[in-house]
Amino acid sequence: MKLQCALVSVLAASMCAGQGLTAKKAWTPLRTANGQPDLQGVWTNATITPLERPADLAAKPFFTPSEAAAYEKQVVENANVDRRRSDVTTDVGLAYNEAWWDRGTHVVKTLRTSLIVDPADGKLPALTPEGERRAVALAERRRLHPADGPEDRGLTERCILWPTAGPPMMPSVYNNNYQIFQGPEYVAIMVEMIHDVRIIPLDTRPHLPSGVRQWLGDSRGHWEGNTLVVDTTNFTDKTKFRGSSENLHLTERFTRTDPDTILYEYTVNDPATWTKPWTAQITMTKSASRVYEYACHEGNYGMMGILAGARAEETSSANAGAK
Amino acid sequence: MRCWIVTLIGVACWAAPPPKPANYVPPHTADGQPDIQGVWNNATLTPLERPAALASKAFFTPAEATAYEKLALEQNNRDRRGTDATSDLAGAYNQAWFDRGSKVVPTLRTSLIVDPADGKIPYSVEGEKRMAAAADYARAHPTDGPENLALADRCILWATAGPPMLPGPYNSNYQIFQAPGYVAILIEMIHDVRIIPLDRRPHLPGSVRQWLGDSRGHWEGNTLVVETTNFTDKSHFRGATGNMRLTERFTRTDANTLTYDFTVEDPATFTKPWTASIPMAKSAGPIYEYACHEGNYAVPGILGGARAQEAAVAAGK
Amino acid sequence: MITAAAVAGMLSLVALPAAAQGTASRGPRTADGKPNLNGIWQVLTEANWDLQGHAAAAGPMIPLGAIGAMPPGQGVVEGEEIPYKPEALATKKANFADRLKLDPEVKCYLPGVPRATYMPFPFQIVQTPKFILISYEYANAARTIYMEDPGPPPVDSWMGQSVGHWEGDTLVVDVTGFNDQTWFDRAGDYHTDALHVVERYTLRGPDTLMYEATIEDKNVFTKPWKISMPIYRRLEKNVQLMEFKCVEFVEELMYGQYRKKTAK
Repeated sequence: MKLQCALVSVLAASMCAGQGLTAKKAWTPLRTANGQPDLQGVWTNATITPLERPADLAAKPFFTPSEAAAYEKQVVENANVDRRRSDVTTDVGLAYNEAWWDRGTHVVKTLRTSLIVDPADGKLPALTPEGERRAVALAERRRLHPADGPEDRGLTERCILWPTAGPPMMPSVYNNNYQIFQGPEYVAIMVEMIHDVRIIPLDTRPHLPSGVRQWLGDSRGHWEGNTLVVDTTNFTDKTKFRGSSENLHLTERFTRTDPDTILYEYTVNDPATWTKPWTAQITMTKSASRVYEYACHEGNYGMMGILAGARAEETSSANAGAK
Repeated sequence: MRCWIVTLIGVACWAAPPPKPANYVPPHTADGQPDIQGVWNNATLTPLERPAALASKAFFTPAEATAYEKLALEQNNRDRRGTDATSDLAGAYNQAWFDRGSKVVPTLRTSLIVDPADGKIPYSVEGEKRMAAAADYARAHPTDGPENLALADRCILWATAGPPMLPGPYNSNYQIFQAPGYVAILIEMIHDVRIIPLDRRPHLPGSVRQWLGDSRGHWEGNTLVVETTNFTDKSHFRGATGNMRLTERFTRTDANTLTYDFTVEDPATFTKPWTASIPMAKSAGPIYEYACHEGNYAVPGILGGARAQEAAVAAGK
Repeated sequence: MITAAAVAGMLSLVALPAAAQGTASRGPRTADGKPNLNGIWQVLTEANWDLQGHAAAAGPMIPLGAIGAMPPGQGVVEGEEIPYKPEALATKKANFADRLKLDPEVKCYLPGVPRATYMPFPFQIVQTPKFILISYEYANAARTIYMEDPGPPPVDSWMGQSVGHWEGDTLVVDVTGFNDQTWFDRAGDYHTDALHVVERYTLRGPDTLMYEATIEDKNVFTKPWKISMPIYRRLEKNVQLMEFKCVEFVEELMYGQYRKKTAK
């Protein structure tokens, strides 16, 4: 409890310094019919702020507003630069631009230069030796077996799980959209990618048995003042958020700081992977749009193309007698 | 002369719902149904159809009945050892195994069929043709696969279940339960349960067909009348199609007797509806579990044996 | 023909709304004053896949895709884990590994007790003072609960012998005389012929039955263990059990190897 208070005050101080979300007149959120602070509506967490602070901004935890604007301009231009190359393969590989991507065009409203707020340097804490070992083994496996079968491909290509669902819910390449619903005993978050719904009970029931593991883990929520605190455990060892293990313990906090903003903060606790817990913040912005159906698996030509292409390449190189 | 008069009376009786000894009043269940509950057995030596040898004899005399019973029991238990192992094995069954009962029906009729008067099933020309074709096919394909074997051998359906519920070679046992709005008949072979609603609900849709059909019941005085439709075309009761309509009547005629009558209609198979009557006798029970399929060594044996015979023939013996 | 009993029966039905307003446990009653369990019921849990809590998993038959996959379940076992003896747990795991061949459900065999209760099929209770018949849609399995003790089971059977009595408003059913052939679920949980099951059925409102079963088998488990789940009344208009005579559906599986090969 003491630690929690300390964290809050550090955040408040840094927010003030960054001149982003000045903790002005404590805005009182609206309430739902059954008295919960109202988080409902469609929200987007698209942002060009990276998770970790870029090396060239190591000394700069926060942008000034004009620096932020300049950064935004540069990032958006880069995303749309003409990258035609001479060979067909590279040309196709680089053909995406903002017509396709929708990473957002703004940094987070706090103007922090990383999503990570703790450690203070905006970088992930060091991996444990086991975490390092796992990461190396995984990278090696991917190098040696890029496309033996569907399990070698990423979860997005397999249409199983998108980073926007997580949890934690991280912005991704497009469709960073969420719709939040609140009932008397539940908060439900519909994640556009891939029509995942996180249904978070607010009573005091225990988590699922430890033998039961789920891609999105198992979440339990409660209100602390105007902040929804969500505790998630029971992850599988296949979810691997940034290399995490199945013993990842995630705490998320949702606070509506003004009519158009939810401050979303999460703390990752996984002693098997990182030497200490780490925390990130993203500002979610109210969206005028609707959430669409993303029938990922139903239209998954990508997987067939990748695997069949890999098999065709192997056959042709085998036929060509290449070593 | 005596036989002729008896026959006449018999026919007259069956034109109306069977009148019963007027002095027996069955007890009632708590919700007012005549009580037909308990364990019942319908084994009898009387065949469904009148045997050709008895064509002119609609009813036995008591002495004739006794003689018939004695003969039947002797026949079933005679030593039928053959000279070769195959026929020896096939003839090995006797009353230690069978339980067809030891008596003819109390009315002494020489068939269970009471209408038509000749005690035979009134097949139409089309019905006979179909039966003959089925018999030809069965002769040509006796053991190709499980679907060519008898329903009893496959452990799918026994004659005692039907419906109609005819006695079988053994275990012709039933237990009846009554609760408000329902009569349930647990049939020992093969743990089939006929649950008969007594409300006025419609039958299942015509596209839904079931081995035991779909039954609806109601009480007419002390008689439970059950109407059953929605048979499959695989049930083939005595050659009938899936459009067969069955009406059964259960009347408790004394403390230990449940009179069971049934009428079969199927214009595609029979020239007219025909009716049979079987008395069911109170039994001490209990009903045992008959786990037929779980112990079905017969089907693999029959089919495996047929395949072995074919292989032997193909290999030139 | 109006008997006193019939009048009493009608009065008890008329009295129902008042009774419902009174003590919650009173509930609908039969003419002989017992909780009325008549009707068609079905369980909604995933217990038949695995009594213990489990995440979803791929099924054993690839061509069935998601249809053959295992749905997740929170588990129905009190204490979460079935208390297997160590060597028996090894047998359970071997059962699971070979379940397509070994699970009696695959072959449409009788499900035994308590599995018959939580198969994903309805069953009908026909309740009389001396016998309670439970007719299961699955494989037309059936059992008769004797409300007067019939003595020890004369022979072992798949469904056992059930003897029932009332404890207050709870129907308690004592089941013995099992053979060793059934499983408790598709996950390989099994027993020997020393199995003894005690079930408890208690109405919770007119359309819900709370069900518990205590299971013991000294050859397999270190101690008795308990499962519990609600059973829901099927409320559709004109609902009835239909036939699920699955023997026909498994003939190809069981006897196909003996089928005559037609040289066409």
